[in-house]
Amino acid sequence: MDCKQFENNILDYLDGSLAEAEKQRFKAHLQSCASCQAELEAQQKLMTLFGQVPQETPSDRLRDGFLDMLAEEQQAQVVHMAHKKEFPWKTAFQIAASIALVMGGFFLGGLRSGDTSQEQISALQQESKVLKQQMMLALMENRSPSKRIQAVNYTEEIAQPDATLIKALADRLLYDANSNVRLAAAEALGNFKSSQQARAALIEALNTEKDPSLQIELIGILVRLQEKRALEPMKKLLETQETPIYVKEQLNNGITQLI
Amino acid sequence: MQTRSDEDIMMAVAQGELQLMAELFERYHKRIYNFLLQMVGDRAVCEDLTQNVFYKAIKYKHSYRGGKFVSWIFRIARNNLADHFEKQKRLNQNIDVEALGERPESVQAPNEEVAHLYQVMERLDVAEKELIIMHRLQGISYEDIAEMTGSTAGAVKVKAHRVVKKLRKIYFESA
Repeated sequence: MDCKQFENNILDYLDGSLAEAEKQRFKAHLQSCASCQAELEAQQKLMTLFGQVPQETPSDRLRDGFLDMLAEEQQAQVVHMAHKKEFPWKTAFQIAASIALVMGGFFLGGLRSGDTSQEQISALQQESKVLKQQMMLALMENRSPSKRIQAVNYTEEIAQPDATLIKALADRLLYDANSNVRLAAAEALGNFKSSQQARAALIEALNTEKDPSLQIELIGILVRLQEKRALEPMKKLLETQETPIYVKEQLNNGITQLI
Repeated sequence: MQTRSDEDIMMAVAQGELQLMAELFERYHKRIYNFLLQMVGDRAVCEDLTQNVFYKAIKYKHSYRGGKFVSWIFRIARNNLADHFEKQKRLNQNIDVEALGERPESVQAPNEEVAHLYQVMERLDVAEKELIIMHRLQGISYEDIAEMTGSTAGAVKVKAHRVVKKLRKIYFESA
C-alpha cells in the first residue's frame, strides 16, 4: 500500500469498515511511514472533536408549539371528515330514491314487456351515471375551495372518465387560484393512466406551474407515469434560475428515472 | 414488546392517524433541531424551523410513499433550511454574503478546539458543511443521505470523504 491508498483508506479504517486483508496492509504501511502516522492521528483527533460537538435540547416552547399544532390539525381533520360525509349521503339518498322510484316504474312496465326491460335498466344505469357526473362538474365550479377539492376527489370513483370530465379536471389543474385544488386535480389526473388528455394536461401544468410544492408533485406523478414527453419541460425547469434547489433535486432524480 | 418502525408509524399517519405523529416527533425532533442549529446557529430560529418541519410533515403526509422515514423528514428539513437561507439572502442583500454563514454568539463551543472546528466548518461551502453535519454529527448513513438527495450511497461516501479530508487539512493548517 502506498501513501495515496493509505490516505483513501483512513476513514474506512477508523469507521471499522475496512476488509481484513486491507486492514493488514493498512497497518503494515502505518508501521513504516511517519507522515501517514501523523495523518492518521490528525484524523483521529478530528473524529474526537466531532464527538465533542454538543447536542442541545430545545426548549419546551418547541414541544408545546408542536402539540398545539397537532391538536389543531386533528381538529381540522375531524371537521373535514364530517364535511366529506355530509354531501355524499344526502345526495346518494336522493339519487337512490329517484332511481328506486323510476326502476319500480320500469319494473312494473317490464312485467308487461319483459324482453325490453334489461335494455331499459341499463339505459337507466347510464342515466344515473350521467347525473352523477353532472353534479360533480357543477360542484367543481363551486366558490368554496374545499367543495371544489371534494368534487375533484369524487372523480376517483370513476374508472372510465370521458373527455368532459378530464377537461374539467385539467381546468382545475391549470387555472384554479387555490393551490390545494390544483394539487387534488393533479393527483386525480395522475390516476387516469391511460388517458392521453390527462397526461397532456399534467405536462402543460409543469410548464406553467410556479408553486414549488406543486412542481414537486407534478414531477412525481409524471415520473410514476413514465411519461417521456415530460422530459422537455423538466429540462427547461432545471435550467430556470428561479427554480428552488430542492425542486431541481427532484428534477434530477426524476430525469434519471425517465431517461 | 417490539417497537413499531418509523416507516410503519408514518404510513399510519398518512392514512389519517395524526396523533401518532407525536411519537415521530419524540424520536426525531432533537436530531432535526441539532442539525438545523449546527447549520444556522440561532436557537430561536431553529426551534421555529423544526416545528415547521413537523407541520409540513403533517400537511404533506400523503407525499410519504414508504421510503426511509429519516430520509423523508430530513429532506423536508433541508428544504426548510434552503428556504430560510434564501429568505436571509433577500433580507441581507446589502450585507456581505460571507457573513451569513457565521455562527451567532448564542451557541458557545465547549472548548477552544471545538470553537476552532466551528470556525473551520464555516470555510466549507453550504453543501459540504451540510454533508458533514448530517453524516458525522447526526449519524445519518450514506444510504439514507443518498435516498434523501436522489444520489447513490457510493457517490455520497466519496463526496463525504473528500470533505472530511478538506476539513482536516484546513483545521491543522490553521491550528
